[in-house]
Amino acid sequence: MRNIRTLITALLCTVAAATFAMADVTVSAAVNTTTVALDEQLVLQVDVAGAATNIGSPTLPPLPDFSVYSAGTSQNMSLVNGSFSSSMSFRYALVPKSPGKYTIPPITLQHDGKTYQTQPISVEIVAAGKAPAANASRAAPDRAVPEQGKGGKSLFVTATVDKPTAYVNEQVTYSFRFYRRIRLLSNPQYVPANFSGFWTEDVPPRNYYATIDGQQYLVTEVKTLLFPTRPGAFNLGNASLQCKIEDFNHGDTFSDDFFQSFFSGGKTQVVQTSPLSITVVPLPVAGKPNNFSGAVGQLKVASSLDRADTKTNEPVTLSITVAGTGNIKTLSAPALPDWPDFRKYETVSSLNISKDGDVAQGSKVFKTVIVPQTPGKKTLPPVSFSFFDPARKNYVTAMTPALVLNVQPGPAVPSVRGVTEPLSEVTVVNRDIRYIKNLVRWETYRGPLYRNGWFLALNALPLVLLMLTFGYVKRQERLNSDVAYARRLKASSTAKKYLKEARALSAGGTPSDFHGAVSRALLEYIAHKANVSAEGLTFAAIVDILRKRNVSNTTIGSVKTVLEECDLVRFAPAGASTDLSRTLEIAAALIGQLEKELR
Amino acid sequence: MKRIILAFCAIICCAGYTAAADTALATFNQANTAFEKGQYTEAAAMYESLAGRHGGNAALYFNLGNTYFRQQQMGKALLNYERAKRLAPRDRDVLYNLEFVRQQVKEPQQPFAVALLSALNGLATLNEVAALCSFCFIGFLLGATAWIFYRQRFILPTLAAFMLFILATGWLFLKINVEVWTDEGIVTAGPAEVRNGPGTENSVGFSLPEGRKVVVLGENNDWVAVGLSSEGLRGWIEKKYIEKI
Repeated sequence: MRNIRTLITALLCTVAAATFAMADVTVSAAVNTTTVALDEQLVLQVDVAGAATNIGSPTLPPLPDFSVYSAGTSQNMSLVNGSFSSSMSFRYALVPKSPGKYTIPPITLQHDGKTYQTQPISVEIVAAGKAPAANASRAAPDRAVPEQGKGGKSLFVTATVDKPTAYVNEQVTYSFRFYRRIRLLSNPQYVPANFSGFWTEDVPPRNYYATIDGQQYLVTEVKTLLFPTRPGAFNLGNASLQCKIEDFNHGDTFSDDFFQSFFSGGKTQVVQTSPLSITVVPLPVAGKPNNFSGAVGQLKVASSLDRADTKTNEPVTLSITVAGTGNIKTLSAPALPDWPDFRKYETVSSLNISKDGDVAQGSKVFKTVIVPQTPGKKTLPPVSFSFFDPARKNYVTAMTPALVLNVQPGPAVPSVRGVTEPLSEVTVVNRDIRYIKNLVRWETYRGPLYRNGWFLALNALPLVLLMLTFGYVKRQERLNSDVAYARRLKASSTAKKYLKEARALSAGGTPSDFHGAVSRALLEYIAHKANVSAEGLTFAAIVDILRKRNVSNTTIGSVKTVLEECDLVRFAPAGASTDLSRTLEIAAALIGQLEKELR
Repeated sequence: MKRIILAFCAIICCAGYTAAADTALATFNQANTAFEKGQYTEAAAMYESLAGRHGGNAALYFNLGNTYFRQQQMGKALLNYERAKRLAPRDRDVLYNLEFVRQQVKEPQQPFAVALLSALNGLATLNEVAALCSFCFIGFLLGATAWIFYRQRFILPTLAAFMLFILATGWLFLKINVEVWTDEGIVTAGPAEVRNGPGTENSVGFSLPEGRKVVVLGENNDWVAVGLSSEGLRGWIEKKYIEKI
């Protein structure tokens, strides 16, 4: 038989070498069966042959409806009549995911810049147990009685949970069992179910023997302890196992590739469990203690101090131990009450867990350093801890006994904080602009001051004052130094003084005195103007003075008339009867006229 | 009768002025409230209208600067801080924010002489210097008047007042030179291209970042001639990119 096959293969190789001188490479694909059950697997074999040494591996198209595992390769090279050829077989195990009719699309191979394709293959996946027996083993579809009806199988897997319904954080034990009565060629690969939504604890796998339907199986049991983290319905899906077993089926039609038996060393088998689901119910709200922090199980709580006697400011360690069954890892520290006489430091915890009897159990110790602040006999009140007992379906609150601590006065700690702790520093977090301003009164800028008229006037004022002062002082100086100037300036006022006197005399005095005053006013005026003495000023001298100063003849005549009239009254009192007020008026007008003309 | 009418007019003017100030203060407070709520666009519009109608004051320009800073308009923020600084050169908030924004826009350090001059000018406002000048002048004149009367006794105070007056006048002219005769501008939108002549047909000489302070040298239609004293550059920039302080 084998000789014939060898001969045929050699012939084929020769033909191939001759035929594919142009097209170099051939690719073909085949499956072991076109109808397969959901819990079985399909073997896809891709053969690549060609007259080249370095042919690449084929590329499988995406197969979303199958889980694809590589099941090995085999290769053969030959040199016949000087022409070289090689052939390779690639085997894949396809595990279907859902029933239906599917087509495996063409498988491509790239070689030397060319693309080679296989024909598409149609397969049908039927529900578990309905397909005609192929050469793959069946997985266990039944959770409740996994050991029944499996007699014919050489290997299968089962999965069970110990309870279908659980409380949040209550332990659920998931058991995966692998039954086999044949030799495995390699370590099996376990792909666990989907445990999202659970806190998991692994238990080391166990091996034991079990007899089912008279057949003895080696059972490998893997248990996982699950603690649901939230309520809801959880679908765990199926777990699967991939292993390599000896291939005893060389006789069948598919395995006509004799290279495989040399190189593959067995075939890959994938078995999977039926899917499982768990319903997680929330913890009851009724009766939930205030200090409940999510612990579920059967727990006990104890407390202790590392010593019974201490001194103030010397630390003491308080240990609170929570022990029992449940998810010990996630236990949170019981809340410590306020102890005003103690300073408390951070709590640290230590954990001790075992999974004896597939039950998570152990203890968690919470250690807190407390420092007594005042001396005396101190009683630490009980610490309470609450948990939910799923067996009794109610909440339990456990209390520690009260602890007594004798505190002796210890050495005073001289304000350690003040010395060691640095003063708090200013930390600039974010620099920004200063904030907007508010106003109480609205004032606006009205331009530069130096353009303001009032401002300029204010500055001009002292300037005027200075100028006036200067003029005044200069005049005073001249009045003091220049007698003629001073007399000239005083002429008018002197004349007015005498005229005033005359006016007084006109009312009550004698006409003689009145005229004397008028005469005096005129004479003094002219004498001051000319800077001469009024005494002995003759009429001729007066005319001379006035003439020299360009006084008009009319005015000189008037002066003469007034003076003569005055003299007449003064020295011939009998014949005097004149209008005094008129004389005064004329004299005043005359002095005014002289003031104008005597420039 | 005439007097009564005049007095009446005076009262009306006073009342009108007070009413205007009250309205302005109310608008100012309204703008502050808008700023506090984060409505920066509204706040800026109100502050700007106040500055336009009533003339500004330091607080108004300061708040306007803050508003533009919050809107990321660094050029306009700087412009208003500069204006506020001219009216209140010793206001620490104004100086702080001005320096803060200058650092943000990475304005180069001023040369030493310019910084010294700017520090001197930062001691007082223009009007304060003018008032100082006037004070010294009046003191000198009164001293001189007294000197005319009393001679010797008033020589020293008068001479001292005169010297102070000369110094103050020098400072005043410096101040006027910087703030009135020299036009300074801030680039309010950038980077703005500065060309070698007034018009887009001229080549681009350099570009100015937003917030840069320049000296305005002249104008030609829509173009402004600007100079950079520290870099020694000159050119023409479009009016829309620049605003005078």
